[in-house]
Amino acid sequence: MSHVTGSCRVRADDFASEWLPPRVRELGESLRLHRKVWEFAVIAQVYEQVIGSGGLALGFGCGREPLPAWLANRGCRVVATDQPLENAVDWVDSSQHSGGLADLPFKGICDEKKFRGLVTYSPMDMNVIPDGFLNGLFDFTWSAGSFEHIGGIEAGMQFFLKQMQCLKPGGIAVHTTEFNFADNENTLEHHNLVLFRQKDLEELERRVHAQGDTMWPLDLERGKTEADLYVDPWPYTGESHLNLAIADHVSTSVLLVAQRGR
Amino acid sequence: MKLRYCLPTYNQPHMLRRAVEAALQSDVVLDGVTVVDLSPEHYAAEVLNGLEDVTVLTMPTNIGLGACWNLFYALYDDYFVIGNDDVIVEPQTIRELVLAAAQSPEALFFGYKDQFSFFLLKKPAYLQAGPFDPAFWPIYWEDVCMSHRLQLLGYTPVTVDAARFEHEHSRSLNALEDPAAKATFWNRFKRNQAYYEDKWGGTRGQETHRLPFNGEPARVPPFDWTPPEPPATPQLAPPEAAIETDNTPHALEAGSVLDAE
Repeated sequence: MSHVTGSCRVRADDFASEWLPPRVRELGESLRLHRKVWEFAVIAQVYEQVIGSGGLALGFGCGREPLPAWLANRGCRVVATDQPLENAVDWVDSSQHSGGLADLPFKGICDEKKFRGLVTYSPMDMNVIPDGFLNGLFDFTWSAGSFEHIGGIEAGMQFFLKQMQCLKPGGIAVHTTEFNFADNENTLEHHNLVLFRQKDLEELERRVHAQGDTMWPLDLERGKTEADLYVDPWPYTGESHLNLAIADHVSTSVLLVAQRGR
Repeated sequence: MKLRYCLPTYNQPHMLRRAVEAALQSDVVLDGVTVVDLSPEHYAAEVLNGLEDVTVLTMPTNIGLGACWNLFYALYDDYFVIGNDDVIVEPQTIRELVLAAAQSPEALFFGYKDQFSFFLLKKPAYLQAGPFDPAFWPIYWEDVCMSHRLQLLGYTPVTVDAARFEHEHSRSLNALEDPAAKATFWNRFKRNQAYYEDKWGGTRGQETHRLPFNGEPARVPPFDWTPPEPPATPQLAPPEAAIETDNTPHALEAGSVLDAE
């Protein structure tokens, strides 16, 4: 496949596609069957397809991910955010929290001068997006595996719906999250981690449309290869890490793309 | 959130439509533009006829610039940017100002260079500082007063270089050829300056009071106040000198809200 066509789950085929390997290289990652690699690459790919260069982007829960630098390298101005330090003890301990610009990687992805000129950082609680950001300023919003960590399934949905207000008409929201692909009833819903079921994603799609925005069609079909069928158990050392076991559930990564109505 | 652009207009019908059209071309979603018409001619509704998403509020009399700005805060809770009828914004100007404000804990944000000609003051800080003092009628020094109060609260104004705009200055002080109009302007400028100095115990940068009138009852000079010892021929300072004195560029413009008599 030459490009991303819908809201979809990670599949092994993507790693042999025309679009994924170049994005992975540009992101400074190594090409391996890992869902996090896919998440960064697929978010970058949607930007590539829809915007290409320039614009203004807002990232949520950026942690130490390479996307701000990748976007800056495309000439995109970036506001990178992560939760305020006082709320982020667990993430700081695991070196996944960004406390500021200094924590965001850029080497090998973007020239430092360009990065510093185009990327700014703001602390932000995803449950309380500050009013000033909700004024339709941005061309592109994104998060990579963040909104499943903000308090529950409903909290995640509310975040997704609210952050659409950050976008200009026609602006694109690109988010990845957890998808419980094996059980459409029982799921994990902990205060700092939830696994969205198919019915949750369909409900979110319905609400996105109800508020006048559109979501790229959901395609939750599982791939057919051995890597697609494999579920990586804790401590996640498998060669393929597209699906994983979490507590009594199995999960994978899903991409959700929505466009703000005009 | 609903983002608005608000502006007063006074005696500049030839510039108003261009100013509003420029704001409507912004690359952010504006919930609308609100224009307060302070002129005796009440021209704004006619001038802006046919433009969508524009609200015109016509004042029966010139309530003054401070009271006009207070009106915006009474009307709207969400973010709004305040401009002027001779300010022509670029498509990205409002976006840049709002973006800077969204990312900062500060309260007061100016567009490039011309300060209160184009600004955003967050409503919580406005409520904290109290309204613009309408006793600085009709214009001049109300902005200096607000800046000083915000400074006392610990806020530092932020100038957003990327929020660029064109400022026509069509009726600057130097453009006033009528000596009577110049004298009127000068009296009002000096009257409001004297009021400011009494209110804060010194001129801009030399204030000695932390409370208005040092905690005493307010003393508002009459609006027809004239300097105690006016020179035989009014000696108008050149704009540059006035900037040094007052440091509020818009205070040099005699046009927007200056009462024509």
